[in-house]
Amino acid sequence: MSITSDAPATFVDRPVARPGRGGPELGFTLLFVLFTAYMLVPLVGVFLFSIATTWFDTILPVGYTLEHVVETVNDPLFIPTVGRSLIASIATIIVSVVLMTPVVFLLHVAAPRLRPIVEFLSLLPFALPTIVLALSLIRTYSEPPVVLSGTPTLLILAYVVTGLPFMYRGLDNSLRAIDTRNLSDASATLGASRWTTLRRVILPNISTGIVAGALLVFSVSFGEFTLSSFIVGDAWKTSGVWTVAIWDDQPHKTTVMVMIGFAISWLISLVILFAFSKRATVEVGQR
Amino acid sequence: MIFSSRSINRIGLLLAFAPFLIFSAMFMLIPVVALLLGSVGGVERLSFEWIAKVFTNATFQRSIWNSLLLSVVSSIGGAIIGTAIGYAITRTKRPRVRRALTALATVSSNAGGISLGFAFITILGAAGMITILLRTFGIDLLSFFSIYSVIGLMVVYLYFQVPLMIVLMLPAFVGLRRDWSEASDSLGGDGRDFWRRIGIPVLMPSIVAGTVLLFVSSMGAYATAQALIGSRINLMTIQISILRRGEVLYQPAQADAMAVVLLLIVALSVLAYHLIQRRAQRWIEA
Repeated sequence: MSITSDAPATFVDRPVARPGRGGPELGFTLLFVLFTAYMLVPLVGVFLFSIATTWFDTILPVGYTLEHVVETVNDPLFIPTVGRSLIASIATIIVSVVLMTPVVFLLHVAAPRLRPIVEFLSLLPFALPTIVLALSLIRTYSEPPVVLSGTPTLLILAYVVTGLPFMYRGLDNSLRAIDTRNLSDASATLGASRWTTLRRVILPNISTGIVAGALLVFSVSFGEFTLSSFIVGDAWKTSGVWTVAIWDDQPHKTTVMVMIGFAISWLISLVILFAFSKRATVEVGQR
Repeated sequence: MIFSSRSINRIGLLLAFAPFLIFSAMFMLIPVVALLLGSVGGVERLSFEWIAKVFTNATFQRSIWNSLLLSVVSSIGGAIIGTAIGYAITRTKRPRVRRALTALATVSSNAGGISLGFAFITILGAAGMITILLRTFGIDLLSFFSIYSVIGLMVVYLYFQVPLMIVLMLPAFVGLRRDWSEASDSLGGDGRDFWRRIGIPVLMPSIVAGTVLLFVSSMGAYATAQALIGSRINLMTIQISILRRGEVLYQPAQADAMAVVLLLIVALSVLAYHLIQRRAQRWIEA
């Protein structure tokens, strides 16, 4: 589920209306400190656990080691599970880009009337809890005529569904930002064919939107648990399913995987925040 | 216009939209219809026994109650805290702090999934960092709080609810324009008048819409709860998973029925969100 706020910018640089008297900064600071602590302490906890030797009755670990990290990476299941998640995420990006780019582009230049339908369908995954999507898909594709249950194909297509809002918003925002019609006309006046216009004018101008959408799609599908556990389960074990499966016996390895997951999602969010997006994109699903 | 509807004919347009429309039908619309049919046992042996059982069976009733309790409390809590912090972020005079916290909220609102569940066990579980820290001060956290309970889940869900609310509220706070407060001042109003007559009425649709969205995100949450509690707490999503995959309790039609009820709750909430959001947008885009 994704919402792109129509805020003018991610950063609020303009102070807003200020009725009454000043001096609440102290209270603000207290709020900020509590909020930051709440957001960071769980990360610190899982990070320390992933590099702790023993840690069960002391505030901080007794000692530190990279042993768990090495063990996790050397686990015979590490490469296969992480590899499958990578394959699934990258395939999801490719399918999403190919599926959505022409549609959203044509909404802007040739078929604005179809917008309500496309918007409804693209934002529909908002209203579809992931577990409900999983059940619907395995109910539909477990029996003939089309049997896809248990296959990575169905998993990837399910990821594409959950990624639709991100791709739609990313593409729509970047096509709005450039004046698609005028650019196309200018290009045509200069003698460019349709294909040249698409390839040399439109695509380079919306590539940031495509990349931002693709990164969010990646962030949602890599390390994903619900869809992969229902659709493929142990038959095509992804990193998310493996991470949960080893918790009881090898919790340190789980926390190493969790750290990798946090690192990837923070990295992607920060890249989008600072490199691409003029708008704040918020993810609401996938929990 | 080289891409106008005149230069691309209807058939070309249809071909361009066809893959997306077919995809949506095959992997969203038809599956949801199949789920609805599954919950009534198919067309041939149509029966509402499974749907009825969702509301009559004590365990299922309990799961609906727990999910609603968890989602209502955590969304209202997240909305209040997030609104307060969002307000503080727009009002602070330190631009660096404002930027850093906006970034933190944006990044954290993307959190969730299994990672979050495990992260909280390492700080609030039986051997968690905070649990032990409090013990050294003589406070036995486990005697009155467990992370593996509905209240524990509320604490975990707030981790994404609060930043999400902040990000949703920032545009609304920015939309509160300076000239409105000046107008209020020049008409003789004080700070209280401003909030009572202008601030709150303008912000209310955004706050309510945000709360509904937090409610939706916590009703449908499964991965976080599964990582944290396994099947120890009776939630709708956990119950669906038990019914669909349990070896002892394998009842796919019952799982579908439960999923349909969850879908109805969430879909109606999203509809409400859109209706309220439309009111909120009036001010933000003005």
